[in-house]
Amino acid sequence: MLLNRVKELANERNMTIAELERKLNFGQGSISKWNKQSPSSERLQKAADYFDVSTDYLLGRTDKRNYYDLTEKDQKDIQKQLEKIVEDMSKADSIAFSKDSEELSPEAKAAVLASLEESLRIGKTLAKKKFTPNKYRNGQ
Amino acid sequence: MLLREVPSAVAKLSKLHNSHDPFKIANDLDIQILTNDFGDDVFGFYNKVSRIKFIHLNSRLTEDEMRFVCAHELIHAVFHPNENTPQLSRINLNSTSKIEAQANCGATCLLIDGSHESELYQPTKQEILNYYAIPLEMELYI
Repeated sequence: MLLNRVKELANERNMTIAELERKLNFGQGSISKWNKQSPSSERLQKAADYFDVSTDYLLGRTDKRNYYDLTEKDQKDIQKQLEKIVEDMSKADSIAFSKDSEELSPEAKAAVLASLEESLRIGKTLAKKKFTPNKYRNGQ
Repeated sequence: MLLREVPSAVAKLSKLHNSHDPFKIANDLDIQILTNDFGDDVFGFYNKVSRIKFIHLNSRLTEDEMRFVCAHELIHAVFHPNENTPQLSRINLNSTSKIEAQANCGATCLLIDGSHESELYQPTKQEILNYYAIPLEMELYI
């Protein structure tokens, strides 16, 4: 698991395991040995820091790369909230939305919704970064 | 809040952040600004997600329009943070709704930083608004 995760991350950055070893000042072939021999916690931490993920992710104990990544539940929540917003929007007079009470064009509506969805995503991530208690953050 | 309390509240806000620039104040307050293309009707709106505030601006606006719309939404973000009914408060220049009036008034007060006094001699309201590139509909808030 550990080796697979490291390989996957290295692949994303278009680098080989050998390059990674040189970058992190590890001996040649030391990372490829990780599936037989567990690395020390310092080395694990170093690799995790380099890829900006949690050590738990490297070890396969979680599928979230970072504590602030959106989980599946968050994605579901976002979809739910969006649906609610769409519902609110269709209740004509609940919003001061349209110019001189004209209907908003479908394109504009879609653009507004897309922007709202973006804000939901960014908002959730930022909130996690800002308000997650220290003990639940990476490596603590 | 009452409409007549808005100018002093805005003065306090700009003094606190030592700026009349809505973008800078939004940045100071950790308000996220997103720009997207909303077509011609929607200028901008404000919303809040998990205690994070967002201002959405239409990327089609000119720089001057954008500054005013940003100021307008900033007033919403600061003085009406939980206003949910008009979840997407679209800036409507002729709107009579209470919070829209407050936002327009606040935006006008925020953008007028007093620098016109040395530039213009006995200006009319129109000239002041032109100087700051504020929509002319706002003359009643000066």
